[in-house]
Amino acid sequence: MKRFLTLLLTALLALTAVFAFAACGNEEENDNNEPENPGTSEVTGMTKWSEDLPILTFPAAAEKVDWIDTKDMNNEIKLMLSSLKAVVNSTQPRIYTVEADTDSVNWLQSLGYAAEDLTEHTSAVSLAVKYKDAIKGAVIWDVEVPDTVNLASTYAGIEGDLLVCSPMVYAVLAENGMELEIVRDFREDNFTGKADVYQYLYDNLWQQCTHKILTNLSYETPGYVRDYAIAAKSAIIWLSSGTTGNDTALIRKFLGDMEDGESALMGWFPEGDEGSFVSLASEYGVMVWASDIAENLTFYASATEVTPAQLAQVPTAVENKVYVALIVSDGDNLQYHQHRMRTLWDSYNNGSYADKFPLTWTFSPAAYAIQPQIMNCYTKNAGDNNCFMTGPSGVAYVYPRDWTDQNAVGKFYELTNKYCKLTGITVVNNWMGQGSYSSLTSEEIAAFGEYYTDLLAVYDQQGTGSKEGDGSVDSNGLLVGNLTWNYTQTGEGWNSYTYYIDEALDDLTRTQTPQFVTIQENPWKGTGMLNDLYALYDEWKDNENVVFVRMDELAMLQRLANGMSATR
Amino acid sequence: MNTFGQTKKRLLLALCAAMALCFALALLCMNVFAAGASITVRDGANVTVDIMNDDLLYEGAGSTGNGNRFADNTAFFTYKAQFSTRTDAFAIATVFKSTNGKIQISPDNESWTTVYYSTSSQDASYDAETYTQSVLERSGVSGYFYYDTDTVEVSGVAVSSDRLQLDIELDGSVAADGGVYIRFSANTNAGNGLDLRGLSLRQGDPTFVAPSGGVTRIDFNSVGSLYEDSGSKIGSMNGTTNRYADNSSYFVYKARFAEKTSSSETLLRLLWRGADRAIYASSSASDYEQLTAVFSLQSGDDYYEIFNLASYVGDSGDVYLKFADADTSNGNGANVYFAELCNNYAPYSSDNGYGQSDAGSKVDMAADTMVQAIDLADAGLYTVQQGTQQTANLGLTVHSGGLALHTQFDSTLTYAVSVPENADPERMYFRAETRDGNYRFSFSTDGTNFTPQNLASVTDGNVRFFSVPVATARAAAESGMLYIRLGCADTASDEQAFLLSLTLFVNRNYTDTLSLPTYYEFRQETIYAGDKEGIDLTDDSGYYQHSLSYRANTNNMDDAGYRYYDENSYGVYKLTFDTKACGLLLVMDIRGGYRISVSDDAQSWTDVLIGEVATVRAQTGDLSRDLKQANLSQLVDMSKGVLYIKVADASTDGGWGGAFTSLALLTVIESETATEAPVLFGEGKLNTAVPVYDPRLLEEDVNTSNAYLGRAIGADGSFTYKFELPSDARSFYIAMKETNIRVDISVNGSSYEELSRSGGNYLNDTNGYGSMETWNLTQYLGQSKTVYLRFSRLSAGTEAVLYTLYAGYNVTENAGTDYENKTYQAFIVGDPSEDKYLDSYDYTQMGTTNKYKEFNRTSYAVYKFAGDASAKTIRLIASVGNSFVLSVSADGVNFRDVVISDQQYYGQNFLSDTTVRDIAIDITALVGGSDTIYVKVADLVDDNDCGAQLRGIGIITMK
Repeated sequence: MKRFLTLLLTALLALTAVFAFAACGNEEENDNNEPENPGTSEVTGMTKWSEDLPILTFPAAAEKVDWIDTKDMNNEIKLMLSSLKAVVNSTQPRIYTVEADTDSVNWLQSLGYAAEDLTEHTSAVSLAVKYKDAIKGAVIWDVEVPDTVNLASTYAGIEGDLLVCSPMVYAVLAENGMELEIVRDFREDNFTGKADVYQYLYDNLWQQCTHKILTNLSYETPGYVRDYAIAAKSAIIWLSSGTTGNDTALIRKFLGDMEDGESALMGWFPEGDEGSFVSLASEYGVMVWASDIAENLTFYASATEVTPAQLAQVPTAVENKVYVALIVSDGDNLQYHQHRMRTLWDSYNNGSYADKFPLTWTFSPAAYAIQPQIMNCYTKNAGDNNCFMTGPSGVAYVYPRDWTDQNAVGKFYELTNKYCKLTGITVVNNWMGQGSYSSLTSEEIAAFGEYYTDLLAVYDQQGTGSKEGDGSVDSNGLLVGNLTWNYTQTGEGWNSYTYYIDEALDDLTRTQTPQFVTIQENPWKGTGMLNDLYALYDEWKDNENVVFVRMDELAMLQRLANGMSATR
Repeated sequence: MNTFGQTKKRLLLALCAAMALCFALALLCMNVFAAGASITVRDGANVTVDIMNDDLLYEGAGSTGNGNRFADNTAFFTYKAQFSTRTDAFAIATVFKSTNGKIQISPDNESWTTVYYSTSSQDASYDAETYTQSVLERSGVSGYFYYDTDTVEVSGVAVSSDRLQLDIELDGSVAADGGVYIRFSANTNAGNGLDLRGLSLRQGDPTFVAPSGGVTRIDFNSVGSLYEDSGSKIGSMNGTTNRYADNSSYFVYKARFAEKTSSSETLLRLLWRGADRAIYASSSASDYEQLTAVFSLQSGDDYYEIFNLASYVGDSGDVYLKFADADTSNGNGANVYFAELCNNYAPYSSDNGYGQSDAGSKVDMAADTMVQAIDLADAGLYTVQQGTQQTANLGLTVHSGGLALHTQFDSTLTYAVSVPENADPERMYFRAETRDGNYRFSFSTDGTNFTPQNLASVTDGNVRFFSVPVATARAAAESGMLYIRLGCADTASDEQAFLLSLTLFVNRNYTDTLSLPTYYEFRQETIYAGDKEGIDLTDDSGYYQHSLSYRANTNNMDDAGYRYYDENSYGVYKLTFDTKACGLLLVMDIRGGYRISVSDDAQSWTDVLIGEVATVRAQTGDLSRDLKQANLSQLVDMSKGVLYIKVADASTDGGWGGAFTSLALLTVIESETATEAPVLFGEGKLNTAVPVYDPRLLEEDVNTSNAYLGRAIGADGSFTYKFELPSDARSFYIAMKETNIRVDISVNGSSYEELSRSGGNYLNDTNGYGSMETWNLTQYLGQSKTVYLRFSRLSAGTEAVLYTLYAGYNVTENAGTDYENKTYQAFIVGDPSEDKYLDSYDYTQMGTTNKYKEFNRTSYAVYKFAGDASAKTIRLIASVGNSFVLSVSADGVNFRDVVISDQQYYGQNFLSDTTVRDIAIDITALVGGSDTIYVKVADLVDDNDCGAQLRGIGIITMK
């Protein structure tokens, strides 16, 4: 009986998690019509490349969806399934997987699917059999040289309609009536190791791959973004950055062949490689989208109208007070939208502190093209206290100062301006470069003003610390300011935050001018982070000199304080 | 369309409906669990209720803390007691101080009578925080009880500083069928409610029953244990509670001897004091007569005395004992610390003068036991010596709740211990619980010349473990006697030395005395910790650890790969052997403070090994590991063919008990005629665990001997194996466990080169267990398929032992001829495709990841595929990594190895993905013609944790 109760409660909780986020789909989104995405061109089969972003978009998802939970599934099977998704979803998204171990979310009901439209599968093999007519053959990877997983995946993308199989998976499929033609067997190449594999890939396959995106993904990740990479004909590699070494030399070759400001690196990097890798990509003008555990991009990247985020109520005057905006970081990260952000969002919007304090979520406007369904769920359901700003540094994760071709930076700013406008985002979080910070140069400030013609403000992210004065300026009608307290992961409690406000109150007393405080939080602290922020809010909410505001509201107030109009 | 709002409404409805269902189910569950539990109390019995056990509750549960159950606000919990009759029913409840507790009793669980409640009081004369007013309305006691001191003197109520013991008479509330409900709750709907610390139920008179051949001790603390009380009081000395009766006060206990015949010995022994102390006895609780001690030993104010009750014990075995003051005009009455009833209990009998000091008496450690706890009360076991500075504080006294020995100044107490001649001088210990710092132990082997020594000891609270110095222990083994003397370290100080307990540990060496007959064979059976072990001999002790246990759900299996037994837990393992066996060698790979005993009937046990009893208590990290053996052929009845092995903790007062990795039994079977010569690789085997103990397999043998299951190398000694591999052998490996071993290799048997312990073909994992050194010797096959391996001492002056040796080879694999008509059968582990092929398995050491199943040590899986008699080629395909053996069989019984890993791999040296083999082998010759094909996957080396990582297996039949 106890077990039954446990199961029942578990089921109820799961049900609650599914429904806590309102369904965002509508009839138009589920039909077979061509998407009315304003930014797409260059048809690739049934998929299209965005006209200006390095993003492959897919047709509208099917009304009936096959879904499968792969969390406990064998990696070799998951790899085959990724290639199956790439083939099937490229025609019409109809296979959906639940993959993440933590912050796992099945979005299908949030996207508007009714239970009768969903078919759950427990065997990826039977799912493959269902779609066997769409498959023309198999590419075999060498289990004794595991990096051939990436080589075979890349090959499958180029060739099209192939399943990526280990010898054992091939045999299992054959037993189940899918004795596929072996189009390529990488065991025959007798590769000696990783370096050998990726050099081969560069020499023999890279020219046939798209150069819009390059995917850095461990062979240990058989699912997640892999289906999207295969569908996009991306080269899939697993190389580390660093200043020397064969890996770096080879990845520089790949990056060097990609177009500045028009290409992206997807997946992620080996442990601890983030800063140097983003910097390396930026050197080649390549944008970065963290997506190594982004799942179902071949499903989410289907055409959907995105409800633009709503601007806060426009203030008419700014007072001599301390204005505080609380920000959740890491919204540049595509998989974060799918997993952790959803956990935090549900907790914030449905928890005990719902709608009690303004909260600003960083969010990549690139989601407009690559996972519009996800973005729409957030923007459509956002209450008045939810605000959105970009993550660093706009439409993708880049360090603009590290770009060799500064003309390409302008192109990047134009893209950010465009997609912010499409999504209703008015404030940009910029991160000029990693490492020691130096203030924005006049040229950099001028460039913001030149390209961010539709935005209210750009805030640059410098190292944690306070500073004398807020340093904000008017650049061609754009407010250029600084975030004040960034990635406060070492705070670990509201006591440290309250110090930030104390300091601003001291400045207020001394200068009798408005003070603007931003506190950007580390989302990986979990939902306890929200408790910390709420405790801070609760501590100060009754202080007449402290006002908690959304980030766009703070931008408008700061514009007023700089003698600018609140809006443009 | 606002789908958000509609969805939310649907959600709310669904949630409400589901919550209602949950609530209904919860209520249903509560009723299911609430009904029925009752506690049966037989007449004369005293039942102690385990208040932490939910299953004993009749209704409600309250809350549980650390050893208590409490009820605040509206919470309550109810016990139902079932007595034999309606009268003489009592509940003895110990409650913690609270200002809002209540106890009620009821015959029907409806109409309640309050028997106890407590409230707070604002009486100005007491501190409000510590003052509690409690009212006990039944049992003839009512009034106020104050918790602010620890000396509350209220008749019938025993208290400490924070708890009260209530003897609640239940008569009047017991139903006709003997049932009564006892409910514990808060007095009002508020916190600080009833806090129950103990509960016992009794019907009839409280009676202490001495079992035949045993003893029982009277509990002075419990108010419920008194048969009659008239003004006695509770006191304490040296941490020991005593009950005393001065002037006209007295107290009576009822005792019962289980065996009462004309020849039965029915004794009472006391430790008590008081110049006017007096004890009276009666068989009827009237007409008491004063008793005179038959044995008396004075130590200062204390008297250890034994009384023979034979004249006063009635036919039923009952006797009433009344303690009083012989002179009612003043104090100094009976003040009793220790009272024990002995029924035909040999140490205290008229036969030995009730325990008279006698230098001839001694502690016998030469018998079957290696561990013996000394009964300090047995005055016959020790001798006292008054020093130059006479003291009354010498001999038996009381301390910390029990008996103790004490001495002062230069007076001493001495134990004489008989020691076996095969005593192990390296492992002779004693464990002593002492108090105060002024003690010193000294030793003698002749009983005359004592050498006081500042012994190194391992301290665990008041318990100290001492190692007898090796030279002394060796002399004791030779003389057969060891004298242990307790004295004071500072003989000028008046500070006493107290000894509260003493346990002796003497390990004995059962050396390998096997002498091999002319014709013989070896048989070996090994049990690894975590495998399916032995048999299940579960008893009711609560301490027995199921031996058929599995690593995943066994609470005493350590992740490091050993099974441990601490304190009173133990495991019994059963191994059988050929009744014709002439030699029986038990080898334990074990660590810690173990105690190994053997038996041929699981009843009477003989100790064969004890571990580092003393030193392990000082360990803070991993325990050092012992490989110990004993030849048991003289200790058990060999004709029974069965051996029970008990693994336990030598010192049961704490952790660090026995922890074993493996136990093995090697038997030697004598043959009348020459037996078939043993071979290194059995039929159909690519992999072997070489029986190193078998000298017949040696190519050369120079000054070596059996050691454990391995082989020891004497000075300038060596031994050599000759491996003759087939012509198509393409790989060769060995793995071993050793001490101080050098390995040389030769391809011609004459010129050898030493194997290097560096480089890529040598791997070692020093953190692991089992055979963790390995070489890949494939490179030598290019020169010859015959390989000689010679083992000798690495360091010439140090003993060298090769404990294990594994070896294996592969032959060139052939995938067979391809034919167009192919039939596939295949699975991926963890995928639904695996289920239909899995035939049998041992998963006790198996773990699963998203990539593979890892079969460690003796775990395995057998998969069953359909055969095809008409197939031209049958190809085995497999994806498997790490250290593996793949075998096939046509009948599921006789397996033939088809491929092994080329090397014994270790996880920390290799990523699992880099050892994977993509296997395709033609097995037509092995299973062709059969309608069934079995494929088995197992670990290459079965004594360590680096096992086969299986990803998938398939069979392709082709025509």
